[in-house]
This record gives sequence, C-alpha cells and structure tokens, in this order.
Amino acid sequence: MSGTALRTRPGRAARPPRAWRAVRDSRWGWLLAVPAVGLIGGFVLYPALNTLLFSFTDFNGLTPASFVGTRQYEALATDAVFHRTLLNSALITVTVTVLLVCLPLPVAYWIHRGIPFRRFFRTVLYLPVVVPIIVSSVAWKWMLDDNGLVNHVLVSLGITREPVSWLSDPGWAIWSVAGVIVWRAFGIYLLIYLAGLATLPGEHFEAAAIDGAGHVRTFANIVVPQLRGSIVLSSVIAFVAAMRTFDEIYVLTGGGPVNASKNTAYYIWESAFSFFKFGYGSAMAVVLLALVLGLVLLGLRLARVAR
Amino acid sequence: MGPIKRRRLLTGGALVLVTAVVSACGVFGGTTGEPASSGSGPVSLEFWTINLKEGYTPYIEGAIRRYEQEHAGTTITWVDIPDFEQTQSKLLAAISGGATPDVVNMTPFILPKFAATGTVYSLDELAPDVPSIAAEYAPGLWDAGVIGGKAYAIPFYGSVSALIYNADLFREAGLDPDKPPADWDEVFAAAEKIHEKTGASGFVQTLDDFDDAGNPSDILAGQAGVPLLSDDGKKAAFATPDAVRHLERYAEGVKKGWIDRTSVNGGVMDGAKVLAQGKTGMVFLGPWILRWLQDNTDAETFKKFKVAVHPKGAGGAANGFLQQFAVPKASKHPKEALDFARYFSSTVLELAKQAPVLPGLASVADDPYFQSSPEIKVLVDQDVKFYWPKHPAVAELFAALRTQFQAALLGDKTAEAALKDAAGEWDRILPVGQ
Repeated sequence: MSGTALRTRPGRAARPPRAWRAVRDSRWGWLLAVPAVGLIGGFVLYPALNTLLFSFTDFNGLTPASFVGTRQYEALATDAVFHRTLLNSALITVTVTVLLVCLPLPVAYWIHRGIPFRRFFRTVLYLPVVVPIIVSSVAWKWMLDDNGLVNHVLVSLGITREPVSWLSDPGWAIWSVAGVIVWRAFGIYLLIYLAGLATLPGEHFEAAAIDGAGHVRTFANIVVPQLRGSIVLSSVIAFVAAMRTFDEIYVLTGGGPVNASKNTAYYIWESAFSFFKFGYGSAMAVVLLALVLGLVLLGLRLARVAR
Repeated sequence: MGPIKRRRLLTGGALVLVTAVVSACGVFGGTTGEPASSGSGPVSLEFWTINLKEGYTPYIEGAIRRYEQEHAGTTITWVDIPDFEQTQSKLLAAISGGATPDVVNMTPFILPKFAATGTVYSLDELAPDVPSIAAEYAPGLWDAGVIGGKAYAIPFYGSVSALIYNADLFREAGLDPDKPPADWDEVFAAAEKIHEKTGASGFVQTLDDFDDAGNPSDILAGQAGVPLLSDDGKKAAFATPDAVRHLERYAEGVKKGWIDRTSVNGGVMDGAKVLAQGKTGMVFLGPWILRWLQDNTDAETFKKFKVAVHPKGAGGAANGFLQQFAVPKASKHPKEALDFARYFSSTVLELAKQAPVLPGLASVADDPYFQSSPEIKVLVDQDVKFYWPKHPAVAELFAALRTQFQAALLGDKTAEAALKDAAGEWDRILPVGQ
C-alpha cells in the first residue's frame, strides 16, 4: 500500500456535499414521518391554530366571523362562571391526579408480588376501562341518586341516617364526579405500574428479602424510586385527562347544581355548542391549553430537577 | 440544504398553514343567497329526524317510500340523529362543511338562532301563500315557528304537559285518585299530604337539562302567570312578587321533602324514573312517557299510573314542546324540501298511533282517534302554549334561570334574590344574544 493511498481519500470527489448527504440519508425517515406529521398537522395543529384564530372573533358557527380583537379574553376576565369552572377544574384535577397516581401503585405492587387470585383482581380492576364512559356514567348516575343503590346500602347499614344527595348537593357533586373518574380510570394506571414492575430485575426484591426488608420498606425503597418514570408518566396522563373531563360531568350532573361541578372543558362545550358562542369557547380553550401546557412543562421540569 | 433555504421552506410552509387557517374561516361562513331553482331533473333530498329510528323505522320508511312513489325522480335519504344535543352539533358541523340536510327536524329551542343567522329559509321565500299554509296547522303549534313575524318551520308533532300520577300513593295519602289536583295550590297541598302520609315525595318537576321541555319558563309563565319579557322584549320581566311567592313554595317543598330533590338537578327521564320506582306521587310530562313507563315497569306497577290534564296555571295553558321541520339555506332543492316537509307532517297520525303525540296539522288532530283513550285525549283537550322566549340566546337565558332556580331550591339564596339575579343575567344576555 503506497503512502499516497493513505494520504488521499478515494472517491471523495464523487461524494455529494455533506448537507445534501444528510438529507438523502434521512429521506426515508422523512417519508416515513409524513403520515404522522400529516395526522398531527391535520387533527392537532390545524384545529389548535383555528381555535386560536376563532378566539379573536365573534364566530357563532353559522355566519361569517368578525374579528373582535381581545374582547373575548376581556369577557373571560369578568365572567364569574368561568372563574368557578377554573376552580372546579383545579379541584377535579388535583383530586383525580393524586388518587390515580397514588392508589394504583400499592395495588400493582401487591398484584406483582403474587397475591392470590391476582388475575381475577387484575381483570376486575381493569374492567371499568373497557366499559364505554357514557354507559358507566349512566349506571353511576342511577346508583348515586337519592333513591339509588349507594344510598340504599348506606342507610341499610346505618352508615347514614338520611340519603346523601351525591349529585344534587353542591357540596358533594364535584367529589362524586371525581370519584367516578377515579373508579373508571384506575385500571389504566394499574396497568402502567404493572408494566413498570415487570421491567424491574427480580434480584432487587430477592436482595431486599435477604436484607430482611418487609413489604412496606421494599415498596418505599425499591418500588417507588425504580418506578419514578412510570409515576411521572402517570402524573402527566392523569393531569391532562382530568383537565379535559367532560363525559362524566355531562351525564352525572350537567355541571350543576349551581355550577358546582362545571369545569372549564364542559363550559367550553356549553358555550360553543349550546350557546353558539364559538369565539368565546375558543378563547376559553386557548386559556385552558396554555394552562395545561404550562403546568405539564413545569411538572416535567420539577421531576427532572428532583431526579 | 442550507440553513437559508430551510428557513425559506419553513417560512413558506408556515404561510401556507396560516393561509389555510384563514381560508377556513370562509368555510365557516354560513350560507346565503336565493333559493336554488328547482329544475326538472332528479331530486335528492336528505331528511333528518331526531331519535325516531328506534321503534318508528317502519313508519318513517313507509312514508318516505310512498312519497317517492308519488314523486317520480325524487329520492329521500333519511338520517336519524339519536338525540337533541347531537342534532345541534351535527347540524353545525354539516353547515360548516357545506353538506346540510334539505329538511331538518328542529325544535323551537334552537330555531331562533338559525332564523336570526339566516341559516334556514323563512317560508315566504319558498311559498307564495304562507297564510294559507299556516291555516292548516294548530295556531299554538304554528306560532312556535314564527319569529319576528315570519314563519320558519312546519310543525311536525308536539306534546303537551299532562299530570301523570301514582293512584296507589294518592289512595295511601287519603286523596281521591279520581280527582287529581286541578291547579297549583291543589298540587302543592296534595304533594304535602302524600309526603306526610307515605314518605314518598309529592312530585318531581325537574329544572332539567333536556332543553326543549322548557320547564323553568313553565314554572314562571305557565304556573305563576308572570311574563318572561317586557313588552318590547328587551328586559326580563319575571322578577315579580307572584313569581317570588311561587318559587318560595318550590324551595319550601324541596326543603321539607314534598318536592323530590331530583327536581333540582335531574332531567326529564330522572323524574320518570322516580315515578316508576313508586317514590313520587306526580310528574308533569307529556303522555309519551307512558310508553317508557310501560316498557320499564311490570304490568302491576304500570296499572298504578293515571293521566289527567295538566293542573291549571295562571298562564292559562299547558306547557308544550314541539318538533318542527326547517329547510336550511344550503338545500339544493328547497322548494321540494318544503313540499316534503309538509307531506311528512301530514303522516303524523300513523306516528300518533304508536306513541301519544299531538299532530301539528289541525285536520289530523280532529281525527276520532284522539278521543279514543285518556292518554290520547289529554293531548287535544287542553290549550297548549310555548312559554319560552323566541330569542337566539334562549339556551343561555335558560341556563342562567336554571342556575338561579337551583340556588333558590337549595336554600343558597332567597327566591327573591335568585329571581333578581336571574333577571340581571337576562338583561345582560338579551341585547348581546341577538
């Protein structure tokens, strides 16, 4: 082999410029991304941009829209119902997120460690997820009625003397809605944690057992730290889903009584599709989107800092 | 690709996207213009009904088939929307997408908005002699489609509130089931007695989310007899001492239990369910609910339910609701659509024989069938009125009223404060909701 051969770079002159090469090499990647980009663009970005645009109009769904500047946002600032819905959204979201992140974790651990009838429990706890939301909500509406099954059981067992107005008492309505959401979604988060637990090496649990750690210490010192990724994922999913809650409120309470269980997502729907105020509804949607995005990003950053 | 070209590409892409978004506003621009000329070629009409597929398909399909046979070259495509809320959102989506039906089943609850925005034809744009068409229909039902002096809809079928009651609970309470309450003082007295003697509530009158029943306006205008709006229609007029007294009775009833708490936050079907369970004495619904009660109770229970005319209120007529046909402006064959709508409203006797509904056509209501049983007779034996305001923002007005009623019924506010606050809300909504 000659020294010239070592110094020169055969074929270099025939190769295309580096930038073009990068494009050529990645063209298949781009092509494969086209369907996903198209779907996201068509079904997420385009509607989101449309919503932003409509929020500066008086669009009513039927006639051409006129630009009204920031009038819709100014109206939001003084709308007591909107403020109430924000508070309700926060109450539902915090309750649902905390319960859905915390409750399924120990249950998943018990199932993972092989409690008797684990398949039965896994199936039963996941069952509400596969029942259509409207069907389960209607069933709960009947059970939570003043004359419903829940009150019948509570009164029969002497737990309460009078039926509790789960859905028609402003003090209870929002918590009833949150409870039904937690019941329905529990299985999803259980599944996330079970999947996370399945990835943990068995040696961790064996070592803990050899060191004499009981279930509580194993759970606190091994399961929770090791499943941090699943917990963050669950928190984000639960948070976003809770902020968007609609079906349960629609069926159970209609947002009442006295707006006690009306959240922002419901108010957006009501304004747009019941009151024909699409511009106003869009402004609320933009505020909600900004809140959700901001809080999710903040949460993720805090999770990174903690790690 | 260099960074400048890439930037240009991105900028170009963004411009295309923004242009697409802006142009989309044009898509949402509604429809205007003259009625399409009806040529002699084939005519295809899309026909929307609300929740009639289940149980009434043979009737609808049979009526369509007959029309098609009588009108060679005309094809009807029937689409049934399972519920009222969906009709509104689907219609909006269809109008936005430029694919509207030709004949659509509406209610007086949403018609004012479509009329105010010019999205549906006024009938005088399609027919030369609207008064002669109007003369064919029951005046109270026709009037529900007249907005600002113009008719926008053909009545299809309606219903009128009746008193449906549990005769067994009446007997247990020492009331005569053959003499049901005739006015609202008697209703309240009977309700107190039923609750006192049986423990069941006296009645359910939901403030409801089933918007087209309009119960909040019935409570004020029908029962208490107070006008909802000022003469010029620009101000709320219901915050009167009579209305306060009437609402106070409701609040007292809920507090003491002789009005079922389901009234506060339930819908129409929740009230029916409480009646079916034997836990309330009375509900005030159209006789159509009897079919549901029959399907959802055993024969022994169903025998307990009786029907009577709606208790007389100070408003003088029973609360009604109505299904109408309107012709959207985007229809390609609006004149044929109107013809089909009028034809279909004439077939309602067939529907009435399956479910107790009130026909829009006066000649059909005169049919001897409507004297054949108490639950049918009650439809034609009483005056009917649509008490709700024919205002484009009627849904928002009712939402405000319902919220304040709930506050009063739950004791969060006095009846006087609730009505005053509701009137304030109406005064805010009425001018901007036009």
